[in-house]
Amino acid sequence: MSKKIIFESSEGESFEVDEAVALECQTIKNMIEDDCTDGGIPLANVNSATLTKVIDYCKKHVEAAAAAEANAGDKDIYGANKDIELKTWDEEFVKVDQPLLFDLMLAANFLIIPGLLDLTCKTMMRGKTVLQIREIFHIKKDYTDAEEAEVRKENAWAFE
Amino acid sequence: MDRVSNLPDEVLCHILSFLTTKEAALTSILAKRWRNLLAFVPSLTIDDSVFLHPEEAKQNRQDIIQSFMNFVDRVLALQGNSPLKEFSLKSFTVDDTDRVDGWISNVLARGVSDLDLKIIIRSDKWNFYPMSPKCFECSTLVELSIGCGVDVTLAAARIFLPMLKTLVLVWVKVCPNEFETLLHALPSLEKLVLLRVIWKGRDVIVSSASVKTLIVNLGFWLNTLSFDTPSLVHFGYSGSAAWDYPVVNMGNLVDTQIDFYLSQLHIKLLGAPGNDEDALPYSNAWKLFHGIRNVAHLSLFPDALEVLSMCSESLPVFNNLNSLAIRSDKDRRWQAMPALLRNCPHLETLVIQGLVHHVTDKCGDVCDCISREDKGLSLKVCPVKVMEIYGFRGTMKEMAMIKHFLDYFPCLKEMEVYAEENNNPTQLGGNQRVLEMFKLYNNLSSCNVQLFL
Repeated sequence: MSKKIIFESSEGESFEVDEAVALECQTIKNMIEDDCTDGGIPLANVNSATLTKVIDYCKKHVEAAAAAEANAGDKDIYGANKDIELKTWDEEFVKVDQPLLFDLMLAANFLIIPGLLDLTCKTMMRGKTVLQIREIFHIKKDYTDAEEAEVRKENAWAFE
Repeated sequence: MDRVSNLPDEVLCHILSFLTTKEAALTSILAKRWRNLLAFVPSLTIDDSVFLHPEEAKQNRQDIIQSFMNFVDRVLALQGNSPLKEFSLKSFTVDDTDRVDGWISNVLARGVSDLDLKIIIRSDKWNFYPMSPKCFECSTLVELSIGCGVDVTLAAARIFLPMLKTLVLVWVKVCPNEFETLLHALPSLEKLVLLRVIWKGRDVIVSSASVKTLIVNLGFWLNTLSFDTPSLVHFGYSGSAAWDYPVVNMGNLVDTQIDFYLSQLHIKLLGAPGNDEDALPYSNAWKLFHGIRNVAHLSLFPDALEVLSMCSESLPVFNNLNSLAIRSDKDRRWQAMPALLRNCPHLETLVIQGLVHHVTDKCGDVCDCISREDKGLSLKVCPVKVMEIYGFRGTMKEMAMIKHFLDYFPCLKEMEVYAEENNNPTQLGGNQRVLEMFKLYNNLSSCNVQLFL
């Protein structure tokens, strides 16, 4: 049987996962290599809801990688279907509300899961107008009117 | 709370790196922190195509072009001489080649490893951007991709790209002689992609001792095309052909995909009997097939199958071929199939995308389309164990072909049939007759037959 790793969320809830799944996180991988994972890994800045999603993501990608490995022999013009399936899964995966997406991005950044970081960053602002971005992320303008005019002028090609 | 403001700059830059250049530039208006953030993205993409198209004729306004060029200058200046990993420049608006040269020199001097250039210089007439010779002298470059409207002239006598692993040329002008010289000067080259290259000569030689992956798409016919690539493992060929393939050296090949493009005229020529064979455009294609004969996995598209029918007499034996995938087309024949199956003595997996093909009296004994006495002969010698059929529509004709395969492939153990994706699954699933026939086939033959809806 494969070795298990125990995560502890910020609420103190325990999550048991296969080592292979945990290895998707570069941070955890380093810890496992340094042999300091006994007694569980406390993740003080990742809540249970986020951690559940993160584990889902890692599981799916470990499975997909294993399936791709198994089918590597007959990879041909039709083999692309499997990549598309994983991509569709990813797209569905990030259809969550903005706060959770944000938490996922932070978790991916902290645990170093490059695929998940890319996925969440990609979804974060793409296709949104400046006005929408300002509203969603509550960004306060700290330019004076004169400064703002200057910035607009600098980037006239994009604004006009 | 303003959560974005608590994010480290690296993460914000990462978010920006997924936006178009225009979207990213627009975020500078959000707040002071965002003003110059774009300059700190580790992989810089400059793309002027987004602001170009939606608004009418904006790309023609000199002040807008100036503003864009100033923007690029400013971003590069902000970065100073900090190391840069990737740089992608897609510019169809800029009309100042000196400035483009300057940008490229800037990133090359900063140790860029991936360089992606797509440049069309605006001018009254159709001009190609003459590639800056500096691009061929860079000790850090690993990936070089040049596309769209660039003239790759080796003006400099010196080529020094010791680390270059990947070279991609898409729709650029290249002189075959210079290309040969270039390849010989790339000791680390592993992947070469040549898509619709505008060759300045009609005889092309692709020669590299190190290249492992080669993708070729020919936009027009060549006189001769040679491949001296002994280390090649993956090979993809599509588009037009050459009149002759004098050298095809790829003995270590593992997988290959071939997709010729046939025009209506070619189809007519191939179909007409009594033609002088040597005069036919694909009469030397057999040399290409001979060159790839060591391949283990082969994929053929409908037109490639059609061309192969020309070579039936001189078809090589594919001794290592383990899996064969073919794609059918209702207007293309299966004439090559009998010889092909006879010449694959170790075939284990046969994948067929679409059973429906153009029926002729020569499509042979592989299918059941025309009744004949030597029915199934070439199937009997083929040791295939697994068959996968895609795009199944549930017609009686397809059912008859499946039955034919089950009857005549002596070693068949597994057959997986997948319904056409656009086909309404309930329609096929509700077709009791088809379902019952599958059940019957499964019971009657020693092969495990499965239908996936």
